[in-house]
Amino acid sequence: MNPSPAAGQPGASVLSRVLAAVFGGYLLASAAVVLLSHLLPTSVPEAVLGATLFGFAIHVAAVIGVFAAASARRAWGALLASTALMAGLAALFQLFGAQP
Amino acid sequence: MKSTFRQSMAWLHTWGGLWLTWVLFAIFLTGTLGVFDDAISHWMRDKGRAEAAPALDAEARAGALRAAQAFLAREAPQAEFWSIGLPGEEDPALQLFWQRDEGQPVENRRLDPVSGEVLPRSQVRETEGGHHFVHMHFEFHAGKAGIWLVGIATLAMLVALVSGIVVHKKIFTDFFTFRPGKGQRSWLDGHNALGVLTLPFLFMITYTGLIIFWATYMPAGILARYDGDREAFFSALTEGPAPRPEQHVAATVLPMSPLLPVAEQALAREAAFVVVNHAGDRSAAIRVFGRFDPDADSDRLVGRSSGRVQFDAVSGELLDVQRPNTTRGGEVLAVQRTMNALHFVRFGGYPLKWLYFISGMAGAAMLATGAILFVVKRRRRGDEAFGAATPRVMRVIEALNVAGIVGLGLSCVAYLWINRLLPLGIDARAAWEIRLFFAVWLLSLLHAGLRPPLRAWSEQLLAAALLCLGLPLVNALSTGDHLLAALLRDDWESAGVELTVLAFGILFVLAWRRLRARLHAVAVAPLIPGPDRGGALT
Amino acid sequence: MSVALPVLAALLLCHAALSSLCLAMDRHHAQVFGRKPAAWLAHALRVAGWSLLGLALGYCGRHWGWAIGPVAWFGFLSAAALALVFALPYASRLTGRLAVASLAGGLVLMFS
Repeated sequence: MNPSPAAGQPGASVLSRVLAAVFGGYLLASAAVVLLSHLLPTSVPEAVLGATLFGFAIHVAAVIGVFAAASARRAWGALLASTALMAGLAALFQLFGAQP
Repeated sequence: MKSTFRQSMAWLHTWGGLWLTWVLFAIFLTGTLGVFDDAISHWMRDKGRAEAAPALDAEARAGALRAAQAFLAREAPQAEFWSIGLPGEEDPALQLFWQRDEGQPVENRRLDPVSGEVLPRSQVRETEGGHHFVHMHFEFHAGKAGIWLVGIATLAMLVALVSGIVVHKKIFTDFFTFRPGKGQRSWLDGHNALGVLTLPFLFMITYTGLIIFWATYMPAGILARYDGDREAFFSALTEGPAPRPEQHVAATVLPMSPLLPVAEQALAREAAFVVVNHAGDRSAAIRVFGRFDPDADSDRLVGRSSGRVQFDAVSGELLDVQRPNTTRGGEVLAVQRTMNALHFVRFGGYPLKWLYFISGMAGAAMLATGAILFVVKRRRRGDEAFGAATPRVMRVIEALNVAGIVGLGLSCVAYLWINRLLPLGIDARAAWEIRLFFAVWLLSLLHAGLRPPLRAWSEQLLAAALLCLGLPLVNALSTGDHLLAALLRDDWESAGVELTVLAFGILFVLAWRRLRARLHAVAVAPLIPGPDRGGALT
Repeated sequence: MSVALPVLAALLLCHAALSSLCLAMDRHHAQVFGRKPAAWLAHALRVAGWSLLGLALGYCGRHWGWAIGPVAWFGFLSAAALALVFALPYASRLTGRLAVASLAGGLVLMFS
C-alpha cells in the first residue's frame, strides 16, 4: 500500500482524528487536571498549579495516542471513556471532599 | 491496513509539522531575536550616544511623582490603571501609561519631571524596539487570538518533537552525522542533527513556553476549584495581599508623594515605578516597585525581584511589603517560577543569552530544513499527495516556505531600516513601524507567489543580504552614529546589534551564492526531465 | 575578560568531550583517520569523552552555581556539538587535532 495519507487515512477519518486530538485531547487533559488537583498532596492552589503543569504533557500524550490508534472511532471511544471516568471521579471529590 | 506505530508517527510528524511549520518558525526566529530585545531597543532608540541621566535625589523623585499624579488626575481621574515610570538612567523623563477602562487602549505620554509639561513626541525616536519581536513571538500582535494560535502551535511542536524522536530511529548512531552536497539526504541530516543536538533546549523552551500562559491555556483547575475566580486563586497561590475588586464607589487617590519615602525605606532601595489600580474607585491600591538591580543575586535562577510595597490608595494604609529578592508561595509555585525563568533567560547574563540565541537559531533552522525537506522529497518523487490539486498545493507550500523563512528574516531586518528611515514625530510612529514590517512580509509573500520557487529564494536571499550588509550605512546616514564610534565608546549593545546583523548578511550571501550555482546548473541543462524543471529546490 | 574566559573554557571542554565520543564511533573514526578504531582505543575514547562531559559539568556548576550551571552546560554542549557536526564533513582531517587543541586550551583556561 502507498503509505501516503490519502491512501492510508481517508479525509473524513483524518478530520475526525484531528478533532479528537485537538478538542478531545484538551477535554481529557482538563479532566485529568481537575482530578489531579484533588490528588496531589499539597495546598489547593498549589495542587491546581501542579496539576496544570502536567496537563500539557497529558494533552501531548493524548494527541500521540489518537494518531497511533487503529481507527478514529476507537480513538474517540478511548478518549471519551477516560475523560468521563476522570470527570466522574473529580465530581465525587468535589461533592464529598473538603472545600478549599 | 493500519500501519505500525512508527509509520503513524511519521505521518503525524510530516503533516502535523508541515501545516504549522511557518508559524513555529516565526515563533522561534522572533523569540530568538527577542533574547536581545533590550539591546535591539537600545539600538533602535539611538541610545548609544545619549548621556546617562543624573540620578534624582529623594526630593526630586517626590516632585516628579507629584507632577505625574497631577497630570493623571486631570487626564484620567477614573481609570483601570495608572502606571508612572520615574525618571532613571535609561530615560530622564516621566513615562506615563494609563487605561481608562478595561478593554480600552493603553495611552501614554512622556512628561518633564520638573515642570510636569508633556514632552513633544518628535524629540524621541518613538518605537516598540525589540519588544516588537517579543510580541510577534507570543501573540503575532493579534491579542488573545494570537496567544491561542501560538499555544496551539506550541503544543504541535511538542507532538512533533515526540513523534520526531520515534521516527528518527537511528538517533544515537547518527548523532554526529551530517553529509553535505547530497540533496534530500543532506536536508534530512541537517534537520536531524539540528533537532537532536539541541533537543534538551527545544523541549525545555517549548514546554516552559506553554507554562507561562498556563492559566489562560488550561483554566480547568481554576474553574473547577475556584469557580473561575482568578484573583482569589492567585492571591492564595502567591500568598499575596487579598484581591481588591472594584466597589463602584467614587473616591479620590490621596497625594502619593509622601508615601514614596515610606516605600523606599521598606524596600531599602530607590523606587522605579508606581502603579495605581482602579484609580478613582474606593478599591484603588497603590503599588510602588523598586528599581531593578542587575548585580544583586545574579547567580540565582529564580526569586530575583525588585520588591514592591502596596498601599490603600484612599486611606494611605500600608497593606503589604515584599522585600527585594524574596519569594513567597510553596514549592510548586517555585517550580513554575523556575520554568518561567528558564524560558525568559533572566539569569546568567550575556553568556547564557548567547547560548539561548544559538540554540534558538538552531531550532529555527531545524524547522526551516524540515519545511524544505518536505518539498525536496515530494518534488523528487513526483508524489500525488493531494490528487489532482497537487501541483497547485505544492506551489502554495513552496511560496509559503520562501515567505515564511527567508521572507521573515528579510522583514525583520527591514524593520530596523524602517526605524531609521521613517520621519520622527509622525503620529503613531511606533505602530507604523510595525505596519510596514507586516507590509514587507506581505510583499515577500506576493513575490514568492509570482516568481519560480528557486528564483524567489535567490532574490529574497540577496535582498536580505543587502539589507543586512547595508544597515550600518543607513544608520550612519540617518543618525550619524556608526559601528566604529560605538566600538570606541565601548557601547557593546549598539555594536553587537550591527555586528550580528552583518554576520547574518554574510550567511545570506553564502546561501545566495550556493543557490545561484544551482540555478546556473539548471539553466545549463534545461533538458533535465521530471518535475525538477522550473527550479525546485533540491 | 572575566566573562569571556570561563565561556571559552566550558566550550572547549565540551568540544573536546564530544569530539572524543565522536571519534569512538567506527563511522566517524574512519571518516577522520581512514580506518576503524581498535577496540581498546574506542573504549578509551568513550571513557575520556564521558569523563570530560562530567568535568565540563563540574566546571559549569562551580563557576555559575548549581542552579544555572547545568542549564549553561546543556547550552555549551549544544553549541559545541553544532560546531563539531557541521565542521566534520568539511574539515574531517582536522577533527583529531582540533579535539586535542580544545582539550589543552580548555584545561589551561580551567586552571588559570
